Amino acid sequence: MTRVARAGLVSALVVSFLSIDVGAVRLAHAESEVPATNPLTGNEAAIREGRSWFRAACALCHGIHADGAGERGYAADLRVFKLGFRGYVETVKKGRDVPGRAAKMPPWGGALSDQQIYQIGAYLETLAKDGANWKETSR
Amino acid sequence: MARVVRNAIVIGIGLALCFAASPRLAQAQVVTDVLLASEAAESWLHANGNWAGHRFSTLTQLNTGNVKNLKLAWIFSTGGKTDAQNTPLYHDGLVYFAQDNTVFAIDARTGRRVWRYEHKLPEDWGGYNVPFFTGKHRGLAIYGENIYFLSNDVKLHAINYKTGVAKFVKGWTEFQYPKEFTKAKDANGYFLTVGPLAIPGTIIVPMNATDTGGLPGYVIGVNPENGDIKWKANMIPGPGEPGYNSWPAGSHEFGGAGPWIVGAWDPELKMYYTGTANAYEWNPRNRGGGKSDNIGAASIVAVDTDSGKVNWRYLAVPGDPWDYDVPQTPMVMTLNGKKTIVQPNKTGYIHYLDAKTGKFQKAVLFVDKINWIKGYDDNGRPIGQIALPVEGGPKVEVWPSLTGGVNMFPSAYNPTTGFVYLPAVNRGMKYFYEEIKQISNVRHFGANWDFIWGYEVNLAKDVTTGREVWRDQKSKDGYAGGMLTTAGNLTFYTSQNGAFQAVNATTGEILYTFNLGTTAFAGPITFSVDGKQCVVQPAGGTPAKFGYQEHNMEHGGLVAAFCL
Repeated sequence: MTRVARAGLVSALVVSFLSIDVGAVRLAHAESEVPATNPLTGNEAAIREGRSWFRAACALCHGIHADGAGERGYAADLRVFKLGFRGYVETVKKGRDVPGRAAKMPPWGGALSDQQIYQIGAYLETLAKDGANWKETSR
Repeated sequence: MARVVRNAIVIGIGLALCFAASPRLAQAQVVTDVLLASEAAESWLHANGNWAGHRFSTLTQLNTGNVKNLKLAWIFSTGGKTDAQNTPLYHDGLVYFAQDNTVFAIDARTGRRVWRYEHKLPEDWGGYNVPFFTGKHRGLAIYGENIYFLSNDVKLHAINYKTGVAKFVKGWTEFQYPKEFTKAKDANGYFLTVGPLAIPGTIIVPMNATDTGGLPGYVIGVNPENGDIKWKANMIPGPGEPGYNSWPAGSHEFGGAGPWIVGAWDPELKMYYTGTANAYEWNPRNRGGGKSDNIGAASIVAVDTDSGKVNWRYLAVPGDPWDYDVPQTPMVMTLNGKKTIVQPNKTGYIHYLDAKTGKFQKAVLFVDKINWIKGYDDNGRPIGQIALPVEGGPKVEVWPSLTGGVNMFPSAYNPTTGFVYLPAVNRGMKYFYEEIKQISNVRHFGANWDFIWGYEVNLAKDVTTGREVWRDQKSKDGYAGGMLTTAGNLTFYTSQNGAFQAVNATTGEILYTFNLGTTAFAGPITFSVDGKQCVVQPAGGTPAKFGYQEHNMEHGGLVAAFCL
């Protein structure tokens, strides 16, 4: 093998090693890169934990059934969420300005970890109705 | 007499009468101690109408005979971004209304804005539940030449009542506001959605933080000239006070018990009466699991306004397992010759206490369906409470729901009819406890629920016998915005369905109704301007109060005036 080819092979191996999807390790490195779909989809433990976090942090505005009818404000009906997984994560981290309302969606980035946000997402996916889209936003 | 001279005299008398009748040229009426002490008449100087908390006006010009001739005089658009919880004030030609950290002075004759005072919240304002509370101000005070206003971020603003210019803005270092989780190490803080009360020499400020992380509630008394603290009264008992040991060690610091409403004051007893919010967290596991009383939360507390010492605390819901805060103003009245506190609250009962000692007298049931207890014993303790939910276990059906038989929407007392008027609801819930999550220094509720929807019912109860005299029951669920009652034998309120109503205070017959098109979250007020009695009702906010979506209306923001 030529030196160039060997260097190329080593680089390729390094890159593919770093890209291996190894559960939490992958998540720990993924702060700046949100996957296109929720790595915790269908994970029972994640769904249980996500439900607990949803009820504590989100249900007051989004409603206990995620239908937008909160006791402490009204918000988006998450059962028909369409922005895809990356759209979901971005909205949760940055919050959302709601025109004409004092009660904006607060930013949770830094308050909730990526893991917790993905867990909540995994729970919300179990409530999805027809027409919801939790995968990549179609462009 | 020569015609010229006669004409001159007539013109002169005419001009003199014009000047006398034109209030704009009269001297501006500073609000004195004497005015503060008076029953509501020409002016409406307190959120609750008078110190005793009655929401009763002595005006009789509007009465059961002519109220059908009420006309909408003007509408003021507030641009409101949240629920219009503010009960306005009226004095000397101006209606004062607060929303979204802004105070408006509205010309009572025309509905035009005279001045607007806006306070900007700090950049790092935010945190758990905080968006829900932002922009709400349940009351204002007026004293001397100032409107006293509490912005959400724990500041007292003294604003000149004629010019809208702030005389001072006062914050207190020991009471910090809540912050966005990403912008502060400790996000926990106090938020103010209540209103101050003016008494001679003191502005009383309720200090609430309950549902944003549970910091313990206080009532403070401050100097009207500069906002300096004169005294601080802790709602949760401190070491040495009776009830201190009703909280496990370490739970006092996050026990909640915020004073949730504008209280009442008795000038003879020199006591300020407030109801306090729920104990925190809602899931009671860290504060005794429902077995410790948690005195001070879900209580009626009496504060000595000379010293700031708490005279007594009456506990309405021991261990508060249900988020049953007692958020109504405890009304002070003389019954059977004795000064008595009368307070309807979430429990589904009207509690009667001796105003001086806090001793329990009786609890009168007012809701149709109840299961959380069988009743109260002679000492004011609940009997036969149902079993609490088990954390992680099945939901428990509870009536009334945690929003209560009545909520913070005010009741009123009419000494002429002898009735109290309640904006009540029959609604239940399925309640359950969960793990208490924590972010930064903020603990979450640890509880959740599903409502069992019922119906709105506006009630008149005879305050002496406890008998229900009449009811206005609606088909849909909801709370009316709050009650106003007058010596003209009228009671006014706006149903959650948006209908502003004037009813015969004795019989409940609906005499006038006007569809405001959006829900009210505050009680109306009444006053007299240019010899004409008017009623002013703010409305607007989310029509889906507490998540009930059946009223099919949109978010609104207005103040409406009805005059003869």
